[in-house]
Amino acid sequence: MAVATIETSGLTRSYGEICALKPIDLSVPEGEWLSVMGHSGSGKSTLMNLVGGLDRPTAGALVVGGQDLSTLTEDGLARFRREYVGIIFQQHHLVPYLSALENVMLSQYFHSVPDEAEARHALERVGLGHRLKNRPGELSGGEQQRVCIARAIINSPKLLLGDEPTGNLDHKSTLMVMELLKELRAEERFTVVMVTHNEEVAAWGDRTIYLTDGVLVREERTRS
Amino acid sequence: MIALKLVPHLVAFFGMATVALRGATRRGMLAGTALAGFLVGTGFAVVSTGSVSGQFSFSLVRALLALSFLLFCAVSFTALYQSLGGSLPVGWLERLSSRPVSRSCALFLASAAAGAVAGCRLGPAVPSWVWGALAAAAAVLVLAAVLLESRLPAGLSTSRAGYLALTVAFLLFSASWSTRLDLFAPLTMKVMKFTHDFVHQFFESMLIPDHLFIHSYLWGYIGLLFGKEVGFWGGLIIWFTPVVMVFLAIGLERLPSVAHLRQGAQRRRVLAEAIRTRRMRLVLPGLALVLLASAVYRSLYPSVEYWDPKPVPVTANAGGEIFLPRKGEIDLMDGKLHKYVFERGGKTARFFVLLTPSGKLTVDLDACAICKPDGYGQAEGTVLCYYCKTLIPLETVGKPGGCNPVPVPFTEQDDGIHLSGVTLINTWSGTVQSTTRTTEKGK
Amino acid sequence: MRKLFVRLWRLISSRAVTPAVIAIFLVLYALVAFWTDEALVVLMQLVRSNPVLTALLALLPLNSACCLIAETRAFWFRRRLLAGQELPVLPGLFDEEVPLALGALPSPATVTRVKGNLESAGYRTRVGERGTAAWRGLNGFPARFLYLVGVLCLFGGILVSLTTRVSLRGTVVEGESLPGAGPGEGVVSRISYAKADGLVLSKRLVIESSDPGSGRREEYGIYPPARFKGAFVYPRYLGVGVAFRFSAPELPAGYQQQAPLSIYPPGKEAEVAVPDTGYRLRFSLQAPADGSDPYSTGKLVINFKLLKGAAEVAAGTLASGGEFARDGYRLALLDARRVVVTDLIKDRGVVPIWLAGAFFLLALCYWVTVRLLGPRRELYITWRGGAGLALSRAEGRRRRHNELFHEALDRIADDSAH
Repeated sequence: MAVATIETSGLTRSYGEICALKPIDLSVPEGEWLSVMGHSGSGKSTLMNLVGGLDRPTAGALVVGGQDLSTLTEDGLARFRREYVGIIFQQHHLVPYLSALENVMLSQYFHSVPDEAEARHALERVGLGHRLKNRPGELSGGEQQRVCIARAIINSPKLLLGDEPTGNLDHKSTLMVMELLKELRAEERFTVVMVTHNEEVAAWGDRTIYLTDGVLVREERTRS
Repeated sequence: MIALKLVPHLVAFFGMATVALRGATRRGMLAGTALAGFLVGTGFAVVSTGSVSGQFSFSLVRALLALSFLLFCAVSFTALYQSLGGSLPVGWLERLSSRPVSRSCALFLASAAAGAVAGCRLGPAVPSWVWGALAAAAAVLVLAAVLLESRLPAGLSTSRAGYLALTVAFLLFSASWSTRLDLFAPLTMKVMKFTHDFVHQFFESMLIPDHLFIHSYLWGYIGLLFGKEVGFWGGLIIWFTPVVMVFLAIGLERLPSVAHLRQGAQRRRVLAEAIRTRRMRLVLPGLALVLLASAVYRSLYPSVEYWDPKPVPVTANAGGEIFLPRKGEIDLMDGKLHKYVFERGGKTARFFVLLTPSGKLTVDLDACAICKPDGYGQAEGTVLCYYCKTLIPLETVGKPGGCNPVPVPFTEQDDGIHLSGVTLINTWSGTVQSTTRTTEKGK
Repeated sequence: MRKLFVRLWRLISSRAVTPAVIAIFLVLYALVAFWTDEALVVLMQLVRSNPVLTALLALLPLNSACCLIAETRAFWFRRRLLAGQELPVLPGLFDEEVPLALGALPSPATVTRVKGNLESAGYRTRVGERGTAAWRGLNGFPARFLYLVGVLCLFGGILVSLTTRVSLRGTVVEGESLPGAGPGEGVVSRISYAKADGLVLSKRLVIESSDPGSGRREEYGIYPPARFKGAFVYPRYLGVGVAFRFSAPELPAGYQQQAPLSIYPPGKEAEVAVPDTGYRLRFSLQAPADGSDPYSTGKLVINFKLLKGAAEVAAGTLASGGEFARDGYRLALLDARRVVVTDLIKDRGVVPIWLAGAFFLLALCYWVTVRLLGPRRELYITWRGGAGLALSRAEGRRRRHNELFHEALDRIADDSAH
């Protein structure tokens, strides 16, 4: 049996009177691809933020990669995010003044030290070896998202989080990105938690959970 | 007043103890060693200044400080050499120095030196309550050091050279509060002399023509090498070189080889950790740099007030003899420096009369045979040459040589002292003015 | 025996020897400075007279010579290795040595990929049977070589100068032989002295000599010093050589003397005591009214004062051949000639020391150029008998070079894993 990468028990997150995530028990084994679906305001992003160490739970236990995130200090949490998690956002969040290569090297810088050869190699792996010097504005949406993937994987994370990574992409680009993620997961063996509205995208995962108003209402295993 | 006097020395002791405890295993034992060393050093200095000649105690402590600085130089250069990839057969020495007993011994010696500096500052007659207060203050400071050290960030690591840098810097900082123990001023003097001699020898050895044949503008530049500024800047270079070497040794330390790791992120993490550790190790030498700089400042602007009376004009009788009464408006026997000025035939000579600690009067020019005749001031059992800041112990005033005031022949009688005006003027003209010319124009 | 020799060689060619010996001398200087103000002179005397210290100083040129040999050998060895020759990889030749994992030997396709990557990064490559080499930039070794030659010359020169320097001070007088010359040899025909507009020298002094026998003529200037019979001619001070005859009422027989006087420039005084009489003659050079330099023009007019004890008996001015007579005192200036107080120095260390300066300058220029244009970076991946080894070294820009080195190793590992 695989070791759980994510283990939650009664995980809750409230913002004042509003309870964004009601007590959730969840276990994600190492190497699994988990898709998280739900309507807007269902608590998907809240869950992802908690799992990625971007937010702290109000109550409950949250253990990721053997570390109890609720007990970590701010420095410890930052270290956890730096060394353990890679995140791909819908809005890319690339620095517009830097080239694709420099954007990836920036991620290396915040992790440890930059390594140009390695960053170049990561971009080659996502098929952008010919677009190293281009800035985000000179790249298509799909290409920008591939830069984001290179940026997310450059520090060899154990956990890759995707917050609607294909939300802004057309069908063809979506397929390309998902195919790439699948290939990379096979090579790097990281765990994926992907938040999406899209049933087709969710179907790339091993398992899908459904959230409604902060409550885990359903989960189903994807047909392989 | 005594308490205020001891503050910088106690601060230095506290700093040394804190640094010594970093990364140590038997902290209690080390703390006790530091306290014992400090008290032993203080006791030794106080007793020896009271029983042996004061000059001896100060010379001994200053020699010990100079030795610690030399040791620091050797260690810093070795560290730099090793950082640049050089290997030295000093493994046994490193093993020896990493033993707890060696650490204790080193701390005992350093604390004793710190105590000796404080003891010299206290002087020979120390009331027993001062002893008690000092011991209590040192014990409290050692406890505070233990407490502070345990609260310092765990990542604040030390290197052997960094530890030594800070320890020596604390000692020199402490010594700089006493003009008789300060090392920077004599260092500048030695550098000035060395530069003068070196340039002279270089010119002679390389058969470079004398100033007679060289453009005066060029000789003006060469002349800069003979000024006191060279002593100051050269002294500064020597003063800071070892600590800069430690900086370089840490900064240039080769990062660990990560070529055997096949994951880029892991490689980078190892490198980043090594870089972070390296930066943390720069903290102690950085602090040492600040302390050394403040020691230089103290040396240049000592808080001691010098006794420097305005020269009293004197005249000679018909036979050309100057007479100074033993007791009169001026009491020659009060142990203070008494300055006079004598003028004859358009030439002026400045001189002083002083009662030395041995109870004998001495008459000397208010100038030495090396420097510009800027004169002397008196403080803390010494006279100080204003030009080169060299301290001359009162015991040696009246003896010729080096930067000592040039002695003038005189006769001592019951009523006072008698000296020849002609001899005085000749001595001034012959010694001071000619040497001034030589010093300023070189060669 | 061989083991002992190897150990000795390792010790004597260690880079630590020179700084260690210099440190010992610095400590010695510091110790001497505690006792005397003339520390440098005393230390030089000590080195000259003490065989142990002389031997210690001799270690410096010896060590630089050994370093020169050892490092040149290592340099050529590395070059031959990179050129594909089958040589063992000696320790210390490279900064990093990484054994390749078993079974991770690169396939030709991998080698081509690695080669392509390195070439795109500006490296030149060579693929051979036993390995792949890549290099970029200029070698810094010539700078090191020049530096070591400089150190050898400097300390060799100092050693030779300290131990063998012989100096003879003499006066060079027009019409007489140079000091140390044989009879009729090197007769000074003229001393000329004039203003000069050089960058360094403000005066031009030329001592012309001729050899009546052979008719050979020589000129000795100020700088660079010329040599006479193997000794450097080092003019120190200018003076005037006077020959005078003096008589007084109580000294009717008179007293005659020739003396070189240090009375240049005008105003400077020199005294000659007349033995057993209490008389002293104080001479100085008269400054010409037209402001010219009497030494340059050769018109030497001498002021004199005749003193007996502290009292001045007579005073006057005399040109060469002139005579003063009053109150029974007579002073005849028989001759006045230009004189140069000169050191004749036999020192074989001077030239090497100057050469050392030139070598240091060259080394610095070369080193700065190489550092700015592109320091040497080398990478060698070799496989022999199933075992692979990756070697790397960089004289600068190490970080970037290491990135490429790591990437090459990653590619080899990735390809072999797939």
